[in-house]
Amino acid sequence: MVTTTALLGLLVAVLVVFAAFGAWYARGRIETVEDYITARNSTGGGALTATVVASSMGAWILFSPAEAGAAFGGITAVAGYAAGSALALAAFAVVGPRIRTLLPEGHSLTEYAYARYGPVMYGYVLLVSVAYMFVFLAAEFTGIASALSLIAGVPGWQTAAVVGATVLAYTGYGGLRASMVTDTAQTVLILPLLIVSVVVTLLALGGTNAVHTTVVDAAPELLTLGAPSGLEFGAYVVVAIVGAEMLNQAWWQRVYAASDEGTLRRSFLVAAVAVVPMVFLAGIFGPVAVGLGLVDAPADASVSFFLVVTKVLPDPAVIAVAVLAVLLVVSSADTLFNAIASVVTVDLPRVVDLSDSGLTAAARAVTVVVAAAATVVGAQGYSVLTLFLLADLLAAATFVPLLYGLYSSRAWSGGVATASAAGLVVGLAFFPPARAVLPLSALPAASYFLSFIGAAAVSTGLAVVTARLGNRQYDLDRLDRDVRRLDDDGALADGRGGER
Amino acid sequence: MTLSALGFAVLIWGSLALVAVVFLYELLTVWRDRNGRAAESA
Repeated sequence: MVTTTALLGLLVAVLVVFAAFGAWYARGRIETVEDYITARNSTGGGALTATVVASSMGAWILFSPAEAGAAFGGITAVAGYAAGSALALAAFAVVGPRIRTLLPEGHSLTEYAYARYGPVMYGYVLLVSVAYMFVFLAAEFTGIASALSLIAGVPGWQTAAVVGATVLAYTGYGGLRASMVTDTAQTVLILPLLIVSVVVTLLALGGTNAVHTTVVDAAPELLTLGAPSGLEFGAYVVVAIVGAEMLNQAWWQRVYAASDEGTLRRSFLVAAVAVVPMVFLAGIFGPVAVGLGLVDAPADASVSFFLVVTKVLPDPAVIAVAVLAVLLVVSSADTLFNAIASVVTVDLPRVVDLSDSGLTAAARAVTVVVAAAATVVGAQGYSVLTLFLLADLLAAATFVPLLYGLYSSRAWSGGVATASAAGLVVGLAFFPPARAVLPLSALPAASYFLSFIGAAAVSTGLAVVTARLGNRQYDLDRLDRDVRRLDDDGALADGRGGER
Repeated sequence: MTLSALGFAVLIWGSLALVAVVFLYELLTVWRDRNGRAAESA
C-alpha cells in the first residue's frame, strides 16, 4: 500500500517543479494583457500540438471512458468517446482558420458572439461557456481527489489544495504562456507514462489473450462491436463532447496562439489522432475491471481504471499511475484557469475603463478566484455528473447556431437565439434528470440520446431556416473592424456589437 | 459480434503503437521548432 505521506510528498515535488518551470519561462514575457491571455501567433507546431493534447486529456480520460466501457455499452461506447474527443479537435482544424480570418485580432468566443449577434446571444454564450469550463474544472479536481484517496488515502482537501495552489502559482503569474510551456513538458511525460501504465498492467494480467478471456468469460457483451446500448451512448456522447468543446475558450485561445494557419490545422489534426488511442487504452480498463469482478456497485464503474491498477500493480507502478493522473489534471487545470480568466478579461473594457496593466491585474485576480473556487468545490467530493450533462446539453443546443454566423451572412441574432432556445427546450423535455421536476409524462420516455440529438438537430434546423427567412445581410468583414486588440488605443472603441 | 482475441490484441497494441508514434512526433517537432528559433535569433 502506497502511504499518504509518500504520495503527497511526491505530488508536491512534481508540482513545484512544474510551477517553477512555468514561472521561469514566463519571466519577462508578459508585457501586456495580450501576452497573458492570447500569446498571439507565437506558438510552433510542436508546442501547439502538445498543449492541445495536454489540455484535452484531463484526468477524465482515466474515469469517463472506463466508466463507459464498464457500464454504458462496452467497447462501442468507448469508441464513441474516442470519436467525440477527436471530432471536437478536428472541427477546430476547420473552424479555427475561419475564426482567424474573420477576427484576426480577436481573443474569445464571447467576444465573437457579442460582435456578431449582440448582447442576448453574448450573455447566453458567456453563461454556457463559463458553466461548462467550471464544471469541467470542478470534475477534474473531484476526480483527482477521489483517485488519490483510493490509491493512498490522501484526504480530498489536501489533494485539491496542493494542486490548486501550485497550478495557480504559475498560471496566475505567467498566464497562457506558462500554461502552454508546461503543457509541452507534461505531454512529453504523459504519453510514455500512459504507455508504461497500460503495458505493465497487461503484463501483470498475463497479456492481451488472458485479458480478452477474462472479459469474455465474465461479460462478453462489453466486447461486442456495435452493441445497441453502446451505439446509442456513442452517438449522443459525440454530440455532447463536440458541442461543449466548440464553446471551450481554451481552444479559441490556441487558435490565436498558433504561429500560422498551417500550424493550427496540423496541430489540431495530430491532436485529434492522438486522443483516439489514448481514450481507447484508458477505456478498456472498464471491461477489464468488470472481467476481474472489481465493479460491485454502479459507482465503482467510474473508478475502474484505479481499481484495476491498485489490484494488480506493485507500489512503484501505482505511484507512476498517480503521477500520470496528477499530470493530466494539472495540464487541464492550468488551461481552464486561464481560459475562464481570459473570457472575463476580454469583456471588462466594455464595462470599466482599465489600462493595459489594470487588465492584466484583473486577469490575475480572476485566475485566483477561479482557482480558489475549483479547489473548494473539488475538495467536497460532489458528484458533478448531472451538472456536466446539463452544461453539455446547453452547449449542444448552442454551438451550431453560434458558429453558423461565421459562415452565413444571413444568420441573425433573433434567429439563432430562437434556434438555441428551441433546441434547449426539446433537449430538456427528453433530459432524464429534468423529468423529475417537469410534468412531461405524456411525451415518449426520456433518454440522453433523444435529448442531445434532439437539441442539436432542432437548433441546427431552426438556425438555417430562420436565416433563410427574410432578407437580412450581415457584412462579415465588420467582425474584423469591431473586434480589436486589447493593447490598442482604440481597443473595443467600436466593439459595440453587431447586427441585431 | 464479439471482438476476437486477435482483434483485441490488435486494438490494444495498435493503440499503444500510435501513442508511441505521436510521442516521437512530438519530440521531433518540439526539437525542430527549438532549432528553428535558435537559428532565427543567431
